[in-house]
Amino acid sequence: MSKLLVFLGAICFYASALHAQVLTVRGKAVDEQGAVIPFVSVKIKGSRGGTVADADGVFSLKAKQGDVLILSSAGYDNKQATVTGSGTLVVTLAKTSQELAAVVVTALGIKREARSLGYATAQIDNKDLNASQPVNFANGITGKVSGMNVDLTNSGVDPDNIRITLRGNRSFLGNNEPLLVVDGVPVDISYLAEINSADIASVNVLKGATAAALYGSSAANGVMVVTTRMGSRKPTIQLSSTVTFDRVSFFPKMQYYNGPASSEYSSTDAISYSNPANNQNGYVPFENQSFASPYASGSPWGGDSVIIGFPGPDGQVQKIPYEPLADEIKKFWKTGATYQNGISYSQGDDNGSYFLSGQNIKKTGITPGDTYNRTTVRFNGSKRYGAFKATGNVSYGESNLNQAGSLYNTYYQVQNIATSVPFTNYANSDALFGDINTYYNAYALNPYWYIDNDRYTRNRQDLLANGDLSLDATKWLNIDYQLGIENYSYYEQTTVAALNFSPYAFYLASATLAGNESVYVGDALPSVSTDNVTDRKIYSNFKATLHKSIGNFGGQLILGNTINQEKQNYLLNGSTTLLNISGLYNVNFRSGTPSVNQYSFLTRNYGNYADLTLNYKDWAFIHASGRQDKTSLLNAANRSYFYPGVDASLVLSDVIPDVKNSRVISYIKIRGGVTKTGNLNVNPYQIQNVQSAGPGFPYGQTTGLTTSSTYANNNLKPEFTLSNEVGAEIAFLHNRFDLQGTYFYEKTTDETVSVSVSDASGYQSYLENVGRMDNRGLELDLKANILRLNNGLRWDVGLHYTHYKNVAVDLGPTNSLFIPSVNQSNAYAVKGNPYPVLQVPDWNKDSLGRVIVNANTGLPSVNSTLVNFGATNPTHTLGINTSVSFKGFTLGAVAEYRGGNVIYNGTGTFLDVDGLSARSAMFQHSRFVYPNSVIEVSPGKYVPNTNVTINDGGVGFWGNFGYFPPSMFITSAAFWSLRNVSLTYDLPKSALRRLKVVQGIQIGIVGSNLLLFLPKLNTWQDPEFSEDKGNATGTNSINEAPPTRTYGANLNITF
Amino acid sequence: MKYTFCGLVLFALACNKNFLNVNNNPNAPSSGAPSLIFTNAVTFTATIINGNGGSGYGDFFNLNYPMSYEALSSNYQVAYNITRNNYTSTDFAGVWTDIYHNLNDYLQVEQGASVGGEPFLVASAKVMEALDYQMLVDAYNDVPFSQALQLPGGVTNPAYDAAQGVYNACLGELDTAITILESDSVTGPGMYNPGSADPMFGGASTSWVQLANTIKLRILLHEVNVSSQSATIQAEAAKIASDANGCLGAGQTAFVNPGYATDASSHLNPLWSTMGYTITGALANADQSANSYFIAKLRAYNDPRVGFFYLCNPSTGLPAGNPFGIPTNASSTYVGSGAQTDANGNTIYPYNIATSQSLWGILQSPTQPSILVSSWESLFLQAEAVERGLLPGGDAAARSDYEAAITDDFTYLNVYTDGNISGDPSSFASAYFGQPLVNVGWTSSPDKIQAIITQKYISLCFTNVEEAWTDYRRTGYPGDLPLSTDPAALYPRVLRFIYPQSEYDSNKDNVDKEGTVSPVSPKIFWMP
Repeated sequence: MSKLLVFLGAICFYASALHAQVLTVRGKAVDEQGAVIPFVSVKIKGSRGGTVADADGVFSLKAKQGDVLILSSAGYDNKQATVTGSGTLVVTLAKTSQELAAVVVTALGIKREARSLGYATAQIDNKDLNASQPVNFANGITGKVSGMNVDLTNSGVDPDNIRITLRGNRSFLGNNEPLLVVDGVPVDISYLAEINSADIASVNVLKGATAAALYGSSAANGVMVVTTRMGSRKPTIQLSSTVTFDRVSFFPKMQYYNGPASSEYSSTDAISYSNPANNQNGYVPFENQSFASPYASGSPWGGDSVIIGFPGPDGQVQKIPYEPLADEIKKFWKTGATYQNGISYSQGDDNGSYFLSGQNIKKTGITPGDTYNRTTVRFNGSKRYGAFKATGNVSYGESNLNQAGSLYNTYYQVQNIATSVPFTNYANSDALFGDINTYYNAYALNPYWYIDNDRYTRNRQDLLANGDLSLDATKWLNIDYQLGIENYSYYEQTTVAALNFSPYAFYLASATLAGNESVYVGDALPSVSTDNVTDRKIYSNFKATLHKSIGNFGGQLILGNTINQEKQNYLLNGSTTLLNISGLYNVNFRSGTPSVNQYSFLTRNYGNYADLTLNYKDWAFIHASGRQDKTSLLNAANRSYFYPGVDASLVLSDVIPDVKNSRVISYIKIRGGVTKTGNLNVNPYQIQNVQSAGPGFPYGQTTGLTTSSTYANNNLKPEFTLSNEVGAEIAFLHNRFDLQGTYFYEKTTDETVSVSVSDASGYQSYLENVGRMDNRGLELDLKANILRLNNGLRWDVGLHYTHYKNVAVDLGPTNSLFIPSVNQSNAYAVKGNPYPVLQVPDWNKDSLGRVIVNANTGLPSVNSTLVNFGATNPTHTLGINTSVSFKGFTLGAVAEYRGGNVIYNGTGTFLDVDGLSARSAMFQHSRFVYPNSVIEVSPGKYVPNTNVTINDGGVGFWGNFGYFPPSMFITSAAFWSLRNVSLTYDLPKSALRRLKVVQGIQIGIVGSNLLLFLPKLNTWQDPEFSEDKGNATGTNSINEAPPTRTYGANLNITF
Repeated sequence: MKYTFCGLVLFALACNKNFLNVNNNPNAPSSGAPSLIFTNAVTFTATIINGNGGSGYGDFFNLNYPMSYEALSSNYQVAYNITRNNYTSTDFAGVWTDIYHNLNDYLQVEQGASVGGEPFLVASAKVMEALDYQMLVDAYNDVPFSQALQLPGGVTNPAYDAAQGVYNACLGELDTAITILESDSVTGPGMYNPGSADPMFGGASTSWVQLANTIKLRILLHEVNVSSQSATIQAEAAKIASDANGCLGAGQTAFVNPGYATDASSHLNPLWSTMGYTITGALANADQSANSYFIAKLRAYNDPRVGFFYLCNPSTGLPAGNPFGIPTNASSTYVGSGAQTDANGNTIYPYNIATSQSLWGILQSPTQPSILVSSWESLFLQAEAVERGLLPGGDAAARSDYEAAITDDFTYLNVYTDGNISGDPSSFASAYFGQPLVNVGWTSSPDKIQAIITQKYISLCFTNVEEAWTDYRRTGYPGDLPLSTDPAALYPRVLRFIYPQSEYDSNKDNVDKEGTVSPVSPKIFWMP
């Protein structure tokens, strides 16, 4: 469709002078069956003149003899007709339904006609992908493909913060992310963040197992097939420059009611800070909790100001107004900037082409001091010689990340500060009152100290190379061999500077009995932890394609073999006791024993496959594939496994006469498929029992070994997914509306589950192939060309809706399986429930769900039994895209809704405990009746609590660390997000004529994540954010920075 | 098909049938020498008793609050599960997890050593298994035993054995161990000896026999109130009496030291890193405080050790600590420790005595050995057994053991001052038990058992809280041990552990047979 529209747009610019005799031409547009085609656009070649046919296909316009008319209509080939004289001109247009013509890159690079596919795929082209100028190209897909969930798990400079799933989950504990394939070579999913998105010609999303089966067990979760650009026929240089800015768009809702104080200090302590008028919670100048008397009541000592922190060593005193500073936290976060500059050159002729590109990205973060930069270069080339064709791609990229070593230490310390404190004044962490000895907060270090002294850096290199040699041996046989290498390595380092408290800090700690960090943290030497990962994958694919047509029947058979090898080496060293030499973080200069670790693996597998497609008259297709895999990861008896699949497609619109001739329905296809795939969820050497070094060992010369707490199972097998899908594709009104729908049902059995067993068995768990997960869902895609006006105005709308439901049908011997995470997790697979669900302890409640409180204290109590709060993955997702273009302007927007799921907002735990959250002050930190609470009057009998107030509505309730059940921080995870808005303007050719070498200039403004709408109760965090990128979704915390809004501009020049 | 294509691809290896045999794990051994597992296992047992084990804040550490050895300080948010005895299935879970993991290591030692002809290790592993099971029974009563540690055989959910049966099985295991350790297969010339792989006794089989007899005596005295066991107790005690090696005697504390060092935080003595200081000298437990009851009790007995258990003046008991329950006092530093200095570089406690002594108190050095079973505990056990007539010697022997026990503790703590004068620890000990105070001086104490248990309670501070807790539960001494001052306390005192949540999750059918378990019921079988 897009090519046609580009062409249509282009001819708008054609201009020509009128001369010679003008006559009125009447005409009619019909299709090959003679049916009229309404609203055909009619242009005079080389002129501005033109018209549009009416509903009966009839048009008339003024032209002269010999003029050439160009008739065009969506879904039909353009047709030219020469004006011969007066009389009615009947022009027949041939149907070129976009769906008929489109060729889709399917598994293993096999190109197939879209109409022949028995399964759902989606294609995103370069223009769509780059509308928002994403650094990580996955951000450009969000909201554009049904069945595909792209989660942005964090904000910040590191673009490696995306989790992608296609059609939900299949594996309880294993990988559920799709396979990423770049130019035919399977690569690590982390490569998402390393590829130059401008290099990408298209991304084909193979959503289900049926589409992906040929890739073998690594593709059970679907595939993203990335194809990079090849040379264009005409020598073209493209320059692209983009600058975007990030601003924090959402902050947790804070209270600006109470100042800093807690319960621990009163006038009886040896501190003179308490409110002399009332000894309770007056004001504590070094406190992080905010339970003091209200700001509105003024300074506890009268006057306008209060003391803050401890006095300096020479008696210096800080005084601040006793009032809240609403913007202080906002001032902390910087405006991040991203500069993207790219260049590409492409050229080609009949026998070959090449494409050369380079891109540099520089980013600064919202967290002060964070930076990221990335440079990539690529060369793609192809050459044909007789029956041979050779293609090669080489790309190299390097990225450097430098960010705060622990977001917890920065974001938490920022968020954990009373609202009266002007802490951005402490940006110099070496100056008095910013330094570790005199920082005002007795329970934390200055967040700027962490920013200056606790850093994480990562340097990553990616080399991707692949060569492909293809031979058209005979008319019916093509032989193709591809060899690809992916090599990535990264070097990570975390460095933390020394902490040396002055004697004055220790003096303060003992003199005030308040303690400070000199006591709680103590002096520390500098520390460093460095690790280095090198991973090399070699991929080989041999493929023979045989195709033959006999009469109405056509057929294609592909036989092939793939080999994969992966080798990884990991080395770590570190020390927490480096010599204290400023700026030197080298493990060679240390005291004590360094920490060291090494790990490596080598895995191999190969697969033989066959793929057969048969068609009848190009409207009935049947496709079958089978693949036999052998892997080194399993023991010899289990290592070989086979999985077959079959799918079919029927283009009804070519068969049923009524449809064939319908003016309403242009195209109908029905399709369906059944496929089995094996998903290998076993780590290298995981089937072997091993001993490891005991805790603390070796002590000097003394070594000690201990038995693993997990018992290895030598008989593990792959997880098998039986995937069924049926779908229909219908186009209306000459393909102006295109509706696709797919229903899928996947059943995954032999789940590799970590079965928890009694510790008394000697182990804590073992792996077993048990359990089953079902996954069913509906995908709907509607693409509509709403407007196609003669003056060039076009308006397109796309709707992408997904509903799916994963259900943990069987968990073997257990009913509930914890889904671990690198960080915090509250996610479980619970038998008979959606996967995953959020389970946490709740208050003790009665059968009506009302909170039971103590009849005397008014306090609720925690029930440690886990309660299921619902699914953590969205059950409904709706993406809306729209694009309006007119006279070189294009306005595009993407919005997305997700809902039906819940989120645990870990940020809330700190804010409530510190009395800083708006919620904690909703009763002004005074006594209140717990909402919707009941009192037990006799065993099992509860009456509503109307008057028993909580005995302490301040620090005793809100500030009681660890007292609240986690359920207090669960909210709906629903949101509406305005993902992207872009406005571009292509300068008209006429304007460029004077600049002879310039073929095109496009300027644009872009914005991402501009608006975020959340349910009222979620006052904490963007619910899309997650503690990690694994399966344990549904939990975020103070480890995630606040979400950002991005806006900027870009310029593209084509020479 | 495969062979046709193989020729065409670059990987000729793919055709080789060894192509997929690349599973030689370069990262970890599939089996380890029993002696290496043994070294780790013994060290880990000591960590369970002295520190936080492998599972963090979960082992016996929290018993220090109800036993009034320590208290919370008021300068941090109060942990209400502690002050209210509101323990659940997630508290103390480390005891269960760590001990069964430890038992599995001992099982690997036993199995490997049986095959490898190393009977010394078979026997010492059995001694340690008995110790582990004794701790489990005292904390949980019924526990899996006969079906335990058999996951490789397919037993994922072992049934629970009656606690009495586990106790008896432990006695049998100890007998077997002693027999092996005293046989030619261990003591004969040229026989296998673990030597330095034994981080406790360096391969001294006699010491292992003494440890075995001490653990056996501990078991017998724990169940001394169980009348149906009296014949067994008599018979087993007679075996101890007739064994020339006997129990651990004066100065024979079973110390474990794999090579504790200050070169890494994981190499610190576990008591030091739990209750003392980090590798860079910061307080490991800044929110803790001394216990005011314990200070008062020792002050009432004029016990100079108060300044050696805590950082306080032995003659004044200052600064005061906090009670079990809601804290009122913000002082932080509390554990008796040698060579600690304040910010100005001065040695801070004990007060007033200029001294060159550097090793004293509970925390003497970050590299001090861990105490598995102390000599003073063994001597108190023997005193009680003699007093009860289970071991021979009568009152004189009981008194001798009692006074030797107190002296050994004074000596270990290096009580070099009473706050006023300096002197020899044994002289301070003699002066102490020479006082005509009930439950201090032998002759002044009408109830000898009460005196023994009271003094044992004092001397076990920070060296074996689990044994002190057991003594309290079986004898009720010290009788004035306070309850929590928190008015919202849910239980008066924790009397047993609740089975860990992992059992309710993974072994529900079996653990449910134990009925409803709370911090106070059902009782351990030997509880009166």
